Amino acid sequence: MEKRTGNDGYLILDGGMGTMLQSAGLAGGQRPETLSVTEAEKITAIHRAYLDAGAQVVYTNTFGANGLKAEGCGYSVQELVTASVRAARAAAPTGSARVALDIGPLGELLEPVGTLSFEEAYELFAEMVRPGAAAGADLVVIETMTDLYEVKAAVLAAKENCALPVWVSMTFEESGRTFTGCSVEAMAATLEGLGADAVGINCSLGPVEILPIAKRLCAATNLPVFIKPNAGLPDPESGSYDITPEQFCAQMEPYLELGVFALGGCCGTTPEYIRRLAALCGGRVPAARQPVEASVVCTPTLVQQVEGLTVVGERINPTGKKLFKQALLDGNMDYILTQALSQKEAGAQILDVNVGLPGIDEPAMMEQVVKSLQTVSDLPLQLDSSDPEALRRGLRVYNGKPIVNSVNGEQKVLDAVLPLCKKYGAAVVGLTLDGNGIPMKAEQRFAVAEKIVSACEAAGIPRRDIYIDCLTLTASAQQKEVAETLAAIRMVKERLGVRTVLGVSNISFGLPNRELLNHSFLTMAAAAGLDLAIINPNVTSMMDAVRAADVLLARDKKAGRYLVAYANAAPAPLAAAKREMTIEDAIYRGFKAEARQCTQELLLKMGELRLVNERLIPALDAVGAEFEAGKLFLPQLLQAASAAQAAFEVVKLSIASKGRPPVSKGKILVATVKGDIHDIGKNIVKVILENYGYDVIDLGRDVAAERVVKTAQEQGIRLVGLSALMTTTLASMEQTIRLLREAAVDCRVFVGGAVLTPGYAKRIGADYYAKDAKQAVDIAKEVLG
Amino acid sequence: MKLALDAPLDRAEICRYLGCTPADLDGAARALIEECEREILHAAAPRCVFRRFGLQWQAETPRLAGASQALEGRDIARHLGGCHAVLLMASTLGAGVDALLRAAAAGDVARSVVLDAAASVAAETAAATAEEAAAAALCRAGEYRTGRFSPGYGDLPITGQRAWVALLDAPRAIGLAATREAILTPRKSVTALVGVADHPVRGRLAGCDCCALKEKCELRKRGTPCGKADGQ
Repeated sequence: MEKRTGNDGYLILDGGMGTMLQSAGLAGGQRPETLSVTEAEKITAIHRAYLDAGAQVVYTNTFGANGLKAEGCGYSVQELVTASVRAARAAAPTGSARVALDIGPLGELLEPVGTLSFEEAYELFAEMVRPGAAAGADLVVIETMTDLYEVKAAVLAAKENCALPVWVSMTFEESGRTFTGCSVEAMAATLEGLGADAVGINCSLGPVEILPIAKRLCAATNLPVFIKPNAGLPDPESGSYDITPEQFCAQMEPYLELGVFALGGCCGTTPEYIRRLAALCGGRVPAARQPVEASVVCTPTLVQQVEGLTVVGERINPTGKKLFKQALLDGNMDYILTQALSQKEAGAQILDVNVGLPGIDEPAMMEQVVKSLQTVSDLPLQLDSSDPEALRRGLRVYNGKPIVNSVNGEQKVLDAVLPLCKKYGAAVVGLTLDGNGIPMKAEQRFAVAEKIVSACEAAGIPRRDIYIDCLTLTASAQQKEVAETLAAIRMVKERLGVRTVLGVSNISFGLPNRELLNHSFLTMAAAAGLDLAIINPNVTSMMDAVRAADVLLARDKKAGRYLVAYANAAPAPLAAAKREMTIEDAIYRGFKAEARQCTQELLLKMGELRLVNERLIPALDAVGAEFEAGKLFLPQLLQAASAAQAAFEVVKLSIASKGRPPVSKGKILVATVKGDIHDIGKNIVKVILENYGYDVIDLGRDVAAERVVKTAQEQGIRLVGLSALMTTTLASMEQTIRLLREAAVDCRVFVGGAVLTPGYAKRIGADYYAKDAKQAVDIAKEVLG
Repeated sequence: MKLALDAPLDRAEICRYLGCTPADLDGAARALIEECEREILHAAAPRCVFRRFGLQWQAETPRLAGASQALEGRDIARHLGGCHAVLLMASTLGAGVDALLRAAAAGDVARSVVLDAAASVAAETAAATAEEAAAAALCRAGEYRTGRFSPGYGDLPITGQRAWVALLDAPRAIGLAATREAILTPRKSVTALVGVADHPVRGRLAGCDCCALKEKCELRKRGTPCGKADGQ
């Protein structure tokens, strides 16, 4: 934390470095950071000019001194950083003004938009932090960031590789979001959790445009806030900025009302701007700020304030789900992603993620599932595991502020998990049980809750980030204890001032019409003060109960959300108007609902295998033949494939419900190779192969060769399909094939992609070239039957 | 700067990406295209950045004034023949479109493919708008310009994306970067050069000879190459 007393005045930060380099005629073709080595005294002179103008903190000339941007500049990262810190230190001897090790964006985008991994980003930042701290920087400032994930990598790299304070400022558009969609509130919640010492806004806009965003930041965090605006907006032709030092100073005056602790300038500002700013702030003390009490969890683009009943989707959990278990064993992310998207559509606001299953590496799976989920969904996650290592791996790669589910009153659990929550800035669920099991009485559960809350506070986790679970028992076995749960919720809310959470469905175990008991209990718990309801949002009556409770408890003001949900809803049809058609018609015309219905009806008359072989595949063949003949086109072919997929899902569920092994013609592994993110062709091939009864394990895009080899070995894969779109990524395809051969994996390889040709496929060692999905099916038939 | 992108997109062009014409499609497929177009336009936050550079010629080889490397290849030199300056531009639909496409890829494949095609057309439309904005801001009276030329056209290496992105400070200006494999991220983005001359120029866009797709291009087989070539 920035240690300052109430009597401290403003801290004045420096102004633009690039601007000064340009005016000194130093901004030629080379990287500006190399000037710290070649023209060190001139860099020192720039810092001195800012100090003379009244700055108390100078940023080192290291904005782009990372391993990606500095590659080929003739100096190592260590040389650039060390020389730059020394150049600043020469102007600001220790004890006079502070030297901030400046860390800017890496210049490449992180996964999932780009291909740079979180772990690579971490290493690149750590490579700057170590020499920066060693050379005598006083603090680390991570600035001009637009991607919260990159910020998290940088913050962890700073905190794990030095003991200096860490400040972070990001760059916003006038909407209050960055280019990547990160909101200022998401930044605040995530960085306060990660233990940043101060947060701020810099660059892109001038003081006038940043002011409303700065207000939002101050309202969203308890951390000290600093602001470094540009000298107005740039002229598109000349690139010069449009406000004078006098105007800048006048426009900075309103910031003195906000309670920010430090002010400076960014692009276009010079010592003259800083001199006037220092004069403006001289003798004044930052205004006091209102403490922030809200409970929030977030991803970069979605901040979920927990205020009233908030729905946590429970479906990402293998317990009692055969298809889910199989998906985990196969490492098949698609199934899990589908669960996430359908829960989101049904109204889930947070997703619980549990991937614990005997026989899998839970920590590795948690990391993989968290990374995969955040590529397709913007809902905050609740990481659910009893394995601290699985929690740690998931927390490390999570982008935003999550919840950990869970700790309980056992000291060793608290000791193992709370430090993780603190370090990674997670909220935490506390179960009111301990080594002696679940206490029967509300008072006893309250006592456990009290212990958990005090352990959290001792670990540095504030009450607003604590969610106490008073535990649902089954009404069939422990009917009287239902009331104890509700009483405990009230006590916890009133006496401890923390939030509450409950898994609801357990209430009805062992009784018929479970839905009725579930949503009735949910309503009672809501009245008692429940905040997070862990439910299946795909069950209509549960979401109905949530919306009703929000109206009745006056949390849905003027019943706005309720009206949106129900005012214009047509009365539900008794049954969807059924179009009379055969399964062949339904597939040909791409009607998913009808394909499902026809399949259900046919399964009454014929077995799954016969249905697949005698009806579904011939129907697809017919569509494929018309496509080949130019009578049908890609959109229709794919709509047919989607309808067939819907039919297959019915078949798979039918087989799973009978406890029989799945129908499969064999497993095929598909991947878009390392470095390439164009996966649309691979996705088409996957769906068509699945249509023909093959199990497709899709490793996704930008897949390392080693992962293909490892999965092929573990799963006994006999056919591998690889795709690449770019000439620049064909080398990865070649390398993947070579590694498969070197590892002596007994498999055939087919390849496809826009720039591939049969000749090239042969040259890089592929067994087959597939020009389209139809050929991929022919290859699969040949290899797997 | 921000760009406006208005409905409707060129639906015939979306169909071309999907290997058909609007007349080939039934009502359900047409409805899907319209729905996907709406979703893309909603998710898009199109932006562009541009800069004018003098063009220095060393014999037949052009170089952007102040850039460390010359422009590589025969095709870009032919395209810029007679030009004394260039407009370097980049445009992107933004990260929101990528997020939409990623989520769609986990669901219905037909929707996913049509969304991708609609996004490609939107990216082309944004690039055309950006080109006009660049010309309005940076071309003087009496100047003429060529069409756009991008890395990967003809024999201009795709690896040039990285240098152009850096020259434009595109990561900071519009959130656009290039990967080490020279893929633009966010994906639905364009970088291009437009030649500027003081007399009418048409440019010579690369023909099929150097195209990475020439061996299998359906358009070329049908004798209707992609329309970007100007027939010279």
